[in-house]
Amino acid sequence: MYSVLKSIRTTNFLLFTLMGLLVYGAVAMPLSPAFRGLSTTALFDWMKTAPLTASWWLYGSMAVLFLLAVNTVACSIESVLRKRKGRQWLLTTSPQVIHAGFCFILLAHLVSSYGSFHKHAVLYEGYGVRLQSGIEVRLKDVSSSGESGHVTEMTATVVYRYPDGRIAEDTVSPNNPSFIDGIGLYLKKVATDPAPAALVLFSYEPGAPLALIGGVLFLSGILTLVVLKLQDKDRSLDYEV
Amino acid sequence: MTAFLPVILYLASIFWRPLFHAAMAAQAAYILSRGISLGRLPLVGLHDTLTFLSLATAVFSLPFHFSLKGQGGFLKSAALLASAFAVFGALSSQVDTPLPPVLRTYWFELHVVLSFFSYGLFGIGAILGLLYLLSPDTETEALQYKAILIGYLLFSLSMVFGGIWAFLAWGTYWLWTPKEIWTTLLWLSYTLYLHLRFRPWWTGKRIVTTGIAGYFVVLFTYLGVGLLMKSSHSF
Repeated sequence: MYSVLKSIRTTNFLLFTLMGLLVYGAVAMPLSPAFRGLSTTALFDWMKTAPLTASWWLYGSMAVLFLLAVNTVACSIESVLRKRKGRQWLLTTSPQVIHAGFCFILLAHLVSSYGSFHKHAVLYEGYGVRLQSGIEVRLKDVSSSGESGHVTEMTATVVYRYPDGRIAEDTVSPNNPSFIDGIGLYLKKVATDPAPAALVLFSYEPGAPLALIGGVLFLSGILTLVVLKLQDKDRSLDYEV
Repeated sequence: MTAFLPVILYLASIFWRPLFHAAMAAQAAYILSRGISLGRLPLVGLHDTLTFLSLATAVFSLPFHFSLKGQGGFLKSAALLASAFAVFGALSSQVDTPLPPVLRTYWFELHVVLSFFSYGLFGIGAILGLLYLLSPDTETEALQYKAILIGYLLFSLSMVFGGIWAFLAWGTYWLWTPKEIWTTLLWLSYTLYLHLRFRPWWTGKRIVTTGIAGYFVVLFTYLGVGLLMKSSHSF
């Protein structure tokens, strides 16, 4: 069993199977209305309510990704054990750093699939909403500027009132969210007529730090590997049994 | 007319090689002039992205051309591919409107530039694969691997930067849209290529064909999904 799990043949089979499932998903998604709420709902919450006829490929993909993660860890352990006495330790470790990055990214998706949320709200100037933590978010003002009838810049000032009475102020604009108590406040649109208002998004993405760690690990590993491989003239070093 | 000039020069370079450099220079000048007139990186819409992809394909072909020691067929094929992108780019309508606020960030520019650099390299990988099928040679196969490996690095960088940008712009590093899924498929197809290459059975024609097949996923992810399906990357 372990010999199957650590095999690169298993990796290739799983990658191919995953691709097949994702091709089906990519084709099915635009055709079925069941997927409309998928980007604004945590994946596991969506899967609880979605019909199995629409979500089966996601269950399949998750099963394959789980096996792929186990296979990745097993392959890495095996590779390090086999090559630990070799001189090219960077060539041995860089693929394992890539694998670690991949596993972190998978973990990030898993964490986000459990607990993320994305809720839109329209805030009018002077009014606000209260978050579950008791923090009150109030829109202080909005501004926007444009060119040839197109909005090119927009900002909103928000005021946070904490349950203990503290008050803080922050400015949000596209690509520049404000974070409070782990929740991101994103500015989507502003309007001045008939009343100054802002469409905002409250977003909680618990997997984001893990995804960033995974991305950094993946990139540092692949960068090292590419530099080493470009210097490598002997293709026979690549083969594994 | 200026956008069509590189097309003519790339095609003419098939018969007289120095025109390949002239085509690249003309295309770079055109992109630069669009950037100056728009006051931004001209990488929005099919016109600009196809033109940029054409130039990326041409520029990245040069080091491989020198590695192949001037094997004529390679540069001619690169010129054909670059001219194909350039002509479709020239025929597509330009997007001259100011950028919406969400696109005004270095993360967007890095994400798009790196994507098209990687697409250019994957194109070079496909050309090298076709040349190998016509005339098998281990050096050509090794060059295809290098093109794909560097392309894979740039594509991975683009994906990570895209994820950071998406988190800052949309509050999530992942959106469930066909474009994101196809982008993952593209990444998986080259991941599969890189892993298949570890197996001795996957040598020669089998592995170069996998490298060529990956480029069809690139073209569909870039053009097919953008034109046929609604997503955050719609043109």
